[in-house]
Amino acid sequence: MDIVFEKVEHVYNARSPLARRALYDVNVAIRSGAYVAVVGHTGSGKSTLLQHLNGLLQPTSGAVKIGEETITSHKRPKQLKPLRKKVGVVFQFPEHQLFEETVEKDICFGPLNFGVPEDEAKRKARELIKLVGLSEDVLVRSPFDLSGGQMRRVAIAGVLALEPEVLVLDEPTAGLDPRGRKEMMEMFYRLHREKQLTTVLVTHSMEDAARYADEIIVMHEGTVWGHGTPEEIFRDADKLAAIGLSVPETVKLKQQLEKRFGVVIPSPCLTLEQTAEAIQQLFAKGERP
Amino acid sequence: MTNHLIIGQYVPGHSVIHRLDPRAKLLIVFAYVLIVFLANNAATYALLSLFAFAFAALSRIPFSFIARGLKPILWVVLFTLLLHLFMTKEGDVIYQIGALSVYEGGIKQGVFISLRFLLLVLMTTMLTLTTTPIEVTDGVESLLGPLKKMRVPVHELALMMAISLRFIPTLMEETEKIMKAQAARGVDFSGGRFSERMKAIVSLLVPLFISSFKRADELATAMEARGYRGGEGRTKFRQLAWKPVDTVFLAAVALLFALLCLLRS
Repeated sequence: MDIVFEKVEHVYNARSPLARRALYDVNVAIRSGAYVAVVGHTGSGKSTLLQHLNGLLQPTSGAVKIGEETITSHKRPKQLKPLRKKVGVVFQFPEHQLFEETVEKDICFGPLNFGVPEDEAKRKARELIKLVGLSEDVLVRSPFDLSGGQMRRVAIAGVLALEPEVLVLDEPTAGLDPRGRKEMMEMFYRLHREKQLTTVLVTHSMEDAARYADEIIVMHEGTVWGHGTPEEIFRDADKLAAIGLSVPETVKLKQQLEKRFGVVIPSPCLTLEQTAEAIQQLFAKGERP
Repeated sequence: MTNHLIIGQYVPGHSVIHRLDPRAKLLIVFAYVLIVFLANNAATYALLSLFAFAFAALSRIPFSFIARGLKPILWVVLFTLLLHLFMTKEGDVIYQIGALSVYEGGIKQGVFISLRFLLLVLMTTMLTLTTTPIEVTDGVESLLGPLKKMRVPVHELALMMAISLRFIPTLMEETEKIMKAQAARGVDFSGGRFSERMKAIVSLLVPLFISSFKRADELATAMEARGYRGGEGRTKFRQLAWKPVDTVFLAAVALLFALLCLLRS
């Protein structure tokens, strides 16, 4: 499903003394099947943008087109429910949404709300618990007996159970240890590849944005500051620094090497592997640092 | 919903009323709430209204703001008015529609009781609009101080009050967050069959309870880590200071009380 924002503006508490404009003049297109990272400083409008993707918020003016649906300020909230099945959202700290007696029931909760038959929902739960890296015997346990990391995986399974066409992730790895972080990011990437899932990742990690995303949207003070491939976005470190963002460590290394030794490294150096290769090539060329 | 309810909300300001000692404000409002019940004729109600409106005017809070906040209780007031209008059977019949008849006494009673209700809410709202929760608790603790001798855990009660007031906005925020997360999983909080609605509420309440318990636990740990041991020997950052103006206001309430006793029939 293609997603298009057209002149989207969002004002919280509109028409009241507490009115606050969180988004303005947002024009952006996310094509079907893309992996898009949204980065930006705290308060730049990332979370507000994200909540427009499944109609949790409606634009104050402008329109959001998601597949066939168009959301404007006039749309009645009732009409938005079908959209929520197509766009799954994993909120920050999703483990806070768990409430059922067993893990299985919690994973089935979403599908049942959308009218999926019970045995089918249970079949899905068994499939998904393995997908998120837990064993099947967790299904009968209470979600509150699990560790924090396990709870998060269960909550994510609960969102994936909706079988969305678009997956929206709001800092899904916040508070996890480095290994859990990596495993989780790899899992989302695998899902994206295998199911052609359109993925929108909101993150503070420039490394994750560089490694996984096809495109990066940079938000700044309520509007889109930049939109392009990671290579394009991370080309100018100074400009990013001016709005409180940085480039990935590997790009920093590349830029330092270029400066110190007066060489030009053609590779964008977005990941550790790319960087290692680029340095190896430098050695091979005999330009010994 | 949160936009309309102003009871319990503080509006910053520097008016005379804002600067009154919280103990004085508590005493004034408490005394007012008691003496409202003395009024029983037009003169006494006029006097009470005059006092309440003067108090509101001195606070410099825009009257339109206060009026908007009183709107939610308008239905209760209206209901009281109608109930008294049709139920009181005293004096002459003024109007009759079929079996329903309106008596003179009914109109009087209805207007008086609704007015009493409005005045009560107005004065108590004025207290919270002009006093920060922390001031209210400090005031309560100080006023109840003598009860410590009777082994009433005054400090602990005040602390409980302060903590609950402090966490109201946090809970509101948390509620909104969880509602959004569940809405994303297809929960419809605005409609549906009864069983669906119950399920929707459970999906909100369970996470809310769990996070509240967790937060309480963390708060307790944080307090102990900073050496909190209860009220014994604890000094205060904000010292309450009784000023002449506080005495003046209390005297005004005493005067109001005396006048009410004189004027009531």
